[in-house]
Order: sequence, then C-alpha cells, then structure tokens
Amino acid sequence: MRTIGNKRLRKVIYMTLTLLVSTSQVFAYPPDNAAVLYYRACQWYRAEPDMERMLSDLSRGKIELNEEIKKLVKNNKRAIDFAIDASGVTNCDWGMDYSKGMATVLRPLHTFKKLATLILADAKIMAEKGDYKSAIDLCLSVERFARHVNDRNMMNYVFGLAINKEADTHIQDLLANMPEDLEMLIWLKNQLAQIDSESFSFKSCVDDANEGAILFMMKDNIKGLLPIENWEVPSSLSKIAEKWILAADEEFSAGNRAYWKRLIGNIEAALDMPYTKAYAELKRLCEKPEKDIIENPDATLTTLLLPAFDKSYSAGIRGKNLPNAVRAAIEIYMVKAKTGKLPDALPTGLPTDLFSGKPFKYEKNADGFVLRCRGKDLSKDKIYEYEFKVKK
Amino acid sequence: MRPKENIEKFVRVRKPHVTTSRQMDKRTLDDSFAAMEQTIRTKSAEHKPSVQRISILSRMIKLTAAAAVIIVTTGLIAVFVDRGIGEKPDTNTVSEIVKSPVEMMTAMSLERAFQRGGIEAVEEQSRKAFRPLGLKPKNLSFDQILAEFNGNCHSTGRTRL
Repeated sequence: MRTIGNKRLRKVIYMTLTLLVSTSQVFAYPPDNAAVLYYRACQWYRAEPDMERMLSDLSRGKIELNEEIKKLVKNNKRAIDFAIDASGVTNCDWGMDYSKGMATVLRPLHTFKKLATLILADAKIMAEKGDYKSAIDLCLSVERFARHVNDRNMMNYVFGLAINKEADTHIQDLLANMPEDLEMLIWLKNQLAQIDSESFSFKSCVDDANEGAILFMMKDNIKGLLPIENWEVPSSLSKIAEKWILAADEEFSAGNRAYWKRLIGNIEAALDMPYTKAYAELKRLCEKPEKDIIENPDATLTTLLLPAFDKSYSAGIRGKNLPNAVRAAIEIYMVKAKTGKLPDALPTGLPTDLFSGKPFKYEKNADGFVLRCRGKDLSKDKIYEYEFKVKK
Repeated sequence: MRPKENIEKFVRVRKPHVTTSRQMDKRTLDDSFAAMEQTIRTKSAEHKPSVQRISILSRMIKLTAAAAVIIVTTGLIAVFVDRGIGEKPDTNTVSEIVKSPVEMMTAMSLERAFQRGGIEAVEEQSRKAFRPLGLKPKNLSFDQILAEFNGNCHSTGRTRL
C-alpha cells in the first residue's frame, strides 16, 4: 500500500518536473545570453559585396536611400530582428576563451559592423516613413549592441566604439529632420543616459592586454612566440628578438615580465592625464621597446606583444567625442523646443570635447548650429566640428 | 636476271676499262655538285609561297600580335586597378596569405592589422578570414576536419571556415 503511494508520488513529481522544464524551454525567448542571438543574426545575414559597399556609402552619407537597399533590409529582416532582440538582453557572454591571451580567436567583427549598418539603414527607412520614434529606437538598439561588442579586448573596444559612433551619426541626422517634439527629446535623452551608464573603458583593454602578454612571457610559453614573422616587427628587430627568444631561460622571462610591468604601469598613469599629454606619453612609451631591444634583452617580448595603445587610445577618444556632441546637441534642441529659438550661448553642464577637456565651441549658423572641438586629434592632425541642422 | 646481278657479274668477270686521274675525279665531283645545286634550286622554287599566301600569313601574324598586346595590356590594367594605381605593393601581403583564417582572427593578428591600417584593415582581415576560399573537396577525412578546426589550413589543401 505504502509502495503504491510512493510510486504515485514519484510519478507526480516526475510529471511536474517534466512539465516545468518543457514549458521553460518553450517560453525561453529571448534567451538569457544576447550573444546567442547575435550569432544567429550573423548566421542569417546575407549581402553581396556590392550591396555591402552601397550600405557603407549610405552610412557615410555618400548616397541616399534607394530601392535596392530597402530590398536588402527586407531580405535581412530575420537577422535584424535577432540583433534587436539581442540588444534588449542585459547579459552577453560571447563564449571567448580569453585565457589564451593574445592568441584568443575573436568574433566576426566585420559582420557585426555590417549588421549595425543594416539596422541603421532600417532606421532611415522608418524615418522616411515619418516614424521617427521607431527610427530612434533602432539607433538606440545599435548603441546597446555596440556595448555588447565591446568586451575586454582592444579590438572589441575599437569596433564597439565605431558601431556606437555610427549610431550617433544617424541620431544626428534624425534630430535634423524630425519635427520638433520636446517629449521625444526628453525620452531620447533619458534612454541615452541609461545606455551610457555602461561605458567604454580603455583601462579594461589595457588590463586584458596585460594579462595576455604576461601569459606569453612565462618561461614555458616563450618559444610559442616563434616563428617571429607572425609578429610583423621590422626585420632588423625580428632577428635580434629571435636570437633572444631561442636562448630564453628563467632569468630572461623574469626580466621581460618586469620590463613589461614597468611599461604598463607608466601607460596606466598616462591615461589619467589630459588627452594631449596622454597621447604624447603613450606614443613615447609605445616606441620605447623598439629602441631598447638593441641593448636590452628584457625589452624583447614587450617589443613583440605591446599593442598600439597610442592609436587605439586616440580612436577611442574620437569614437566617444561625437556621442558627447550629440548629447550636448539634444540639450540645445530641447531649449529650442521649449523657447522656440536656439540659445545664444552653450548651456552649462553639457558633455565636453574630449580632445581639449573643455566645453564644445558653440556657433549658430543659418541651418542650425555647430559644435566645434577646441582640441586637435593628434593621431589624425585634425580638429573636428559637428554640424546640427534645425528643421525650419 | 635482275640488273643488280648483271652489274655484279660485270664487275666480277670484266673489270671496267676506265682510267682514273685527278682531272677526271675533279670533273666528276664538279658535275655532281652542279647537278645537286640545280636540284635544290628547282625544289625551293617549287616551295616558294604565292603573293596571296604571303599576304594571308602576314595578316595572321598581325592579328596574333594584336591579340597578344590586348591580352597583356588588359592583364596589366587589371593588376593595377586591383592594387590601385600608384600604390606601392603591400609588403605585408605575404604574411597575410601564409596565415590561416583562425590565425588571422587572433587578437594579436587583428591588433597588428589595426596598427597597419586602422579599423578598415581589421575589417578587411576579418572579412578575408571568413571568406570561403578554394574548392571544397568531395571528401574530408576526420583528421582533415580536425586540422581545419585547429586552423591548419595547409593540411587540407584549402581554406574555408
């Protein structure tokens, strides 16, 4: 009697568990990991090279929206939907084995960028239909996507920022063409503030490079750096480096690790300086190992493994500066929506020009206004200005 | 009796009454050379091409030469357009070709591309790594599939991700 009762109880438990597991599988969309959906989006993404070129031209403002692009967007609707769904998921684990350091195989970054461009083309289509809310929503999805792409590694950081910048360029266009709508501007401002709470950190990229390089500098891993040609250093240096690596022992490994740590320490200190000083110092530090290696074997592995921190740092500042200008511009558009005219001076407390660390230079013109940088992008030898048109 | 046997019999039975001398030898040789020269002249005259034939031949040569010039020019233009006129040949191409797709997608390899040509170079390298190359063989052994997953494209004789 008791056995029969136990059997019944066990059956009920099994059935309940099975029901719970199966129902959770049925309704488990979107999954708790955005990366799964991004990978699926890549899987469904289809575009011929000619069409990809056309998309890039559209994104750069070289061409206008046309029927071919509309067709491409329509054909890739599934990929776009997956990416948008993914952008709404907080958790994103790409499944990368970062323990391999600089030998970690990265994701198809070019496809991510194309996918973002495709979503932004869809935003243009929405704007053409007059649905500015949906268009802005798509741009915000791309900004969230950019933050998911930015994941530890320097290249992910650079691509994440590039995608983010592209989304902000589209928001800049939408602000110029959409009807004056204070409510929508406030909503946009709040959405961006929420997205910006997850920032792009250059320091975390330095930490990642640091961990990856130290791994290669352990005595047993040093020979794994050969063949030396893989590191694309000048041939005169590669011969010296090869000689030292072939003769590597524990003392060589320890000396190289100490040299690297000193340099990384100096690089981290440089990141706290204002842009101009930081860039000059990073450039000096990045060139140092190549000069030192001739006399100092301890500089060997740093010469091979040091990323171009100066370039990526500048690319990072460039990538963050347009978003700052867009956020400042939204405040100016809001003043216009409230008062009916553009302010005579730049309101205080707005995001600053990262090249100078000062507020943007604000100038009104016939079409709207311009936010001009006060500092120069030293890697490109260029001063940027961002133009914002106002709908008449 | 056949003529060959007649001659043999003649030589055996009666010696020919011919008196040889230096003058006689010279005259015989001169006659022979003269006859040979005449024969050659006649033959070459027979083989001489007609005016029409010469004309057709020269037209064919001209056409062939023109075709060769067109092919070479087209080839050169294609190479220059592909590389970009006035651009220096990319010295890094060799290392890129040697690398397998997986090697091209390592953090360090992409970082090197970034150093060379910024984000565009990284994009291009990523695109190359994921672009299927070469023909797909009909059959792949288990070892070949494993080698491919490990990024050793050389063992399979093709590069495909």
